[in-house]
Amino acid sequence: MFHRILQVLADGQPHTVKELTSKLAVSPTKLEHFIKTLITYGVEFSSLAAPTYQLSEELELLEYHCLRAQIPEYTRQQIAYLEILDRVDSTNQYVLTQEQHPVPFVCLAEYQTAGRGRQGRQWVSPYASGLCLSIKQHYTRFNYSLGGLSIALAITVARLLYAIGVHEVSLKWPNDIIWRNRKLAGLLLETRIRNYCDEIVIGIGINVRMPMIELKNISQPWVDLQTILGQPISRNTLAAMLIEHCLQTLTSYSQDGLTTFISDWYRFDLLYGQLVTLEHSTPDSNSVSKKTQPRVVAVTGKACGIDEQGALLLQVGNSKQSYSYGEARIRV
Amino acid sequence: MDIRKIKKLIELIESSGIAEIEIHEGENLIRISRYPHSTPVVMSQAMPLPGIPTVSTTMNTPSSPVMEPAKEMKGHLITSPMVGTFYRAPSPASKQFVEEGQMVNEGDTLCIIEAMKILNQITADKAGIVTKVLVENGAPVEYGEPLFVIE
Repeated sequence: MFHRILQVLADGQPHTVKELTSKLAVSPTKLEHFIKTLITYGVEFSSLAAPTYQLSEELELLEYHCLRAQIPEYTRQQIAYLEILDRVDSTNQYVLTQEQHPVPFVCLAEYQTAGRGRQGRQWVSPYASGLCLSIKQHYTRFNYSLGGLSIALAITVARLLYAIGVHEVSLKWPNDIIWRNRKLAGLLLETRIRNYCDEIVIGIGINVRMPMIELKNISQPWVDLQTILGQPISRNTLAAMLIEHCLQTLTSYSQDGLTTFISDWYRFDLLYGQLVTLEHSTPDSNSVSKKTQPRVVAVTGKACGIDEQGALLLQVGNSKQSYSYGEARIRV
Repeated sequence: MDIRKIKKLIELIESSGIAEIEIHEGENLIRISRYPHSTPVVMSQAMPLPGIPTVSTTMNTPSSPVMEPAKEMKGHLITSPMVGTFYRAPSPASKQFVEEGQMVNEGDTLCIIEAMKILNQITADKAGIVTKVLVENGAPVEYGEPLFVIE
């Protein structure tokens, strides 16, 4: 219903309650309830006083046929199943648990009620303000580590953003996509370990046009594409490009690993040459109890890129060390 | 043993669900494991994940014991299939996947273990009641470490 209401309102013109209720075959009370929910999802209205509703500006919704038609035919044929959802807890969670659909299974949603990131963080994206994309694929076909795939995909997204005009895009190891120290996009890989499991889900979130209202729950500085480019960008077009490039990377990574990606990592590497503190938790070795409390360990060194597995390289004293996981901070 | 033979074995184990295989051939012994027996948190090499076999060759040495669960524990034990960080909820705002005393079905997600930038959902391989959660949220876990008891 949210999608249908917004299809009518998307032109940014005022629409009367009477028109909306008759077009959508819904009662005025129900309509009001849906509009109120949309406001909590971050949709901005310039007119809320009945008898008219009006969005504060035009809105482009994701449309299955429009989006699909923009994916080049070769890639389109590879996609086993494409689905666009109005609202879901998390597109990653959804594709992980939908076992009836064949892979590659590509899924987008206008709104996530429980979007997530690494290290148990939230991913906040108001309704129709960005892209929430998940792709499920088999990973038995990969000859290379899954950890490196996350790096390859981050580079893929950065290349695409650069190509559409985001010239200051950079990558913060392992998977943050940054513009001038503000978060523009994020990436999250997930698997579900079952008795016999061979599927991986890649999730990508990009801020396209965020609402002007103050967004709570976002713990770090962020930016959207419209602000960077100074003009609107079609979400359907961007989604089609993103799907194409990610599927290409899934194929090429399974054959060549990171070899064709590493040189571009250096183009985008935000940490390179910087003094970086890497924090990671480790079991408290002094504790005898089984329920060990995590202890955070920090190491500081000069960042010098990544190795062929995608691990962060730090020059610590005289030795170069590589780290597979942890949280990197630039030291000031 | 011929390097090509080892490569073939790795491919074989990779395409199967086998966690570990040990082969004796005359004086030689080879053990291929998809999982590390004990992995330090920080490694100078990539951390093995399921699907990425690690190879260890030994000459007639007995196999090292895998972490043994506490003997007095009753019920079915869910252990960690990898080294990583343990999370009980999909995001800080969400409800925990399972609570002690809760009934779970086979295939239900119990927790997430984050390793190598990947979140891995661990599912119940047996239906029953979760009687114990053995690890704190956010704690690092080792391969084979007991996580839950299901009765």
